[in-house]
Amino acid sequence: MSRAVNTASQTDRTYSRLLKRETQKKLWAYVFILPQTIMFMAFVAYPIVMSYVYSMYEWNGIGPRENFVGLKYYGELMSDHIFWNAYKNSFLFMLTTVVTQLPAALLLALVLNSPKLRLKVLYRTTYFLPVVTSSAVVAAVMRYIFGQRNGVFNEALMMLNLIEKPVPWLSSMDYALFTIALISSWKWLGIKLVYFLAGLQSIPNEVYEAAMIDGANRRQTLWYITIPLIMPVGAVILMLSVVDGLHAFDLVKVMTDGGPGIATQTVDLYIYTTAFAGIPSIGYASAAGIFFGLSIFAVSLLLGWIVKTANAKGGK
Amino acid sequence: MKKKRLALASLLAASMLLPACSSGSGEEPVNNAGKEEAVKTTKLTMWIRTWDNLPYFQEAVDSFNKANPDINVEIVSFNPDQYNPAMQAAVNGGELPDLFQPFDQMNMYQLKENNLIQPLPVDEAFTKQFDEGTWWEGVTSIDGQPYGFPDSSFKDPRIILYYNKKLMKDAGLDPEAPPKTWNELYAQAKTIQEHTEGKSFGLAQPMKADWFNNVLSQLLATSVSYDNTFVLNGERFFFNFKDGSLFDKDALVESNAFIKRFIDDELMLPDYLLMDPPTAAAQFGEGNAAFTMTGYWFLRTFLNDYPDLDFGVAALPAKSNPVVAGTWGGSPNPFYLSSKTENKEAVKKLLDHFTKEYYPLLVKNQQNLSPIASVNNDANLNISPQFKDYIKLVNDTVRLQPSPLVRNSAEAQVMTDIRSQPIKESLGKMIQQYMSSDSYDLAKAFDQYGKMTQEQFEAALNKVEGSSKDNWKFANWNISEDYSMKKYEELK
Repeated sequence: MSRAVNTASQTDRTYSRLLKRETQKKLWAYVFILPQTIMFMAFVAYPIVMSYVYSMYEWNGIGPRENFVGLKYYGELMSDHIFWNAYKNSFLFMLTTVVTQLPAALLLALVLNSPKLRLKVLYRTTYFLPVVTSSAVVAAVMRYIFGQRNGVFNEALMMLNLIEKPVPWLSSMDYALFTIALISSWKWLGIKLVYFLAGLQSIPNEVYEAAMIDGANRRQTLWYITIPLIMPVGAVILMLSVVDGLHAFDLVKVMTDGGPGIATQTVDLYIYTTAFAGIPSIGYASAAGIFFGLSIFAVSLLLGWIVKTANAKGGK
Repeated sequence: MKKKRLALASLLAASMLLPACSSGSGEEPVNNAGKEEAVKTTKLTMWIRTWDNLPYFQEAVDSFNKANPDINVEIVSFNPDQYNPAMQAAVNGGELPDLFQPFDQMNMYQLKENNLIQPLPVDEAFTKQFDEGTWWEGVTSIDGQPYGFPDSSFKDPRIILYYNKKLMKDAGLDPEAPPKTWNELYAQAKTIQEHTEGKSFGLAQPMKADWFNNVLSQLLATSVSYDNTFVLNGERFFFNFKDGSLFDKDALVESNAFIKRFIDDELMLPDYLLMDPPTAAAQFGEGNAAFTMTGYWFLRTFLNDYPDLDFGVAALPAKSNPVVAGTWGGSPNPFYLSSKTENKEAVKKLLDHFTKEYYPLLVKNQQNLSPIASVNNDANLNISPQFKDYIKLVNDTVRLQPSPLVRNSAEAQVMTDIRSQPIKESLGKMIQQYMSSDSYDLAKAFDQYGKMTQEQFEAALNKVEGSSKDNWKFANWNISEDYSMKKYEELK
């Protein structure tokens, strides 16, 4: 009897010790995530919540917020043709970058993933260089390359007899936005290339070996093995590219500052101008930011669904 | 032991969250030349947004610090784009520097009402040294009390014409007879471009910056008609003080049509819409264009950075009347004194030092004019013929305009209110679209802009207690004459 009691009490002690250890473990976990949580609350959650508050005040960023205007700025935004122009430009910019960048990145990744290719590291580094180069530097250099006078791009086209006289690629209301979008595609191509390479390298070699034994040629291998298996990764890359493409700011700011006129003004630049040029209108800029943020959220949800579907298909 | 470790980890985590913030007490101990004991030193901080004048302030501050070991003045300079947000944060955080320049969110009256600034510790003998118009209500003084130390003269023509004498001479033109009218500028630009077979263009204009397009077209518009003209004060004020009307588009449209003629006839250096003022100045400096209409501040750039450039300066060409650069008095970017600054004697010493050291440096380096006439006229300052021409040009074209603030300080809030309205589309952007397209209707766009600003003006007048449109009407105003204090008296 006493033996049984002793055993029970020993089990209790062991359990209690384990519980204590478990609790301490959890406590340590909380201690370690505390800084990150506080940072997140201070620099992510708080600004997001406050931007909702700001959007309901006429406020220049200084002093107390006294002039409550409710949803007035949202109403004004709906009839602001400059905002809608920026909105349209942001989506056009995103579409151009996604349509040009993703196929190019995939093609390059396929080539660079080839086991027969020599100097792979050199090529990968070369394609990645623009990613690590400052946007301001890229923009400044591109302004000269695509310049109307003595611009390398125009000179090359003229030498090839493709154009008769220089084209104002960055000064024309018709071409400027697409030119910057193409430059942006080139600049960020390297990072998408790395993502695709990672995706390609995660496909097991056995699958290719089995296909070879079954007599599949290169085209069939690409179409029936590589593409379906890379779809889940591709969907994530698509989502990242869309969100990145909708936040065009640095290249536009340095190259054209939204001009000529408002031809290259994107929503990010519109918000910046409203919030910081002249006397700031923080409320109006916040309303524009929230509306655009919600739009991106909706697009992300749609793409999330695509990712889920692609994953389901890729898993089959 | 474990508890200790946990406490240590918490402390570590907390310390990571604390930014390395430290606040200067205003007085801090420093070692005095080899002595062991520390001496109390007054520290003054100046925040500067005007990069152009920065080197001369720095030189003057260095000599001041050397001559006054018990005072340490520190300059913090900002990119103009960063200045407003920095001031915004400083006001919100209650950490204003001792001396600071204006920022967009608050006018001088608001700064005073919020007890953020105090009068300058100077006497009448000090203020009397300055040109008439320097102590200007709402800019550098309030109710006759000086509040803002002038960073330079208010006499600012903003944009002037630069011409390349060598290119003119080579093309058979008289290099001492720069174009005075729009037609002359066009004809001379064409002659030079044809003579150089397109190697040098007729005109180089920066059109990337909104504000630049606004200012240039406003200045040129003054030469279309003195009856429908504008006073320059930021982007959104285009005022006819005779009848209190806010905006007239016709003269502006005409002045832009004049510029577009150069584009249409390919006399304009390409990439004008991508060029900001420094880039266009560099093109002119390299001899790629015969003429450029750009900021007066590039005069020093051309003198220092392009020693081989044979150039001259002149007033902007006119359509019929000479161009007038209307201005208010005061100073472009005066320094206000924080209400928290206690050691006024140190500030007084510093301002005295600036009048004796900083202003001559400004003129000697051909950067800008001093607000004290005797400094500008000092024959001992070895200045270039171009800068001498510039001083004459300033005297010929810059004219003081009436200020509603002299009648009623409440009008300052009207101005702030108008400027705080969200900008839907700036005039500069409209001008860019006009320059890059053949189908853009500039007159229609300006019309809409005019209606919008008129509505904002009326709304601000209704909103601000004590303001009145009558304060904005000056029946005896003539833009080509200085509007002195006597003129205000005449209206009474």
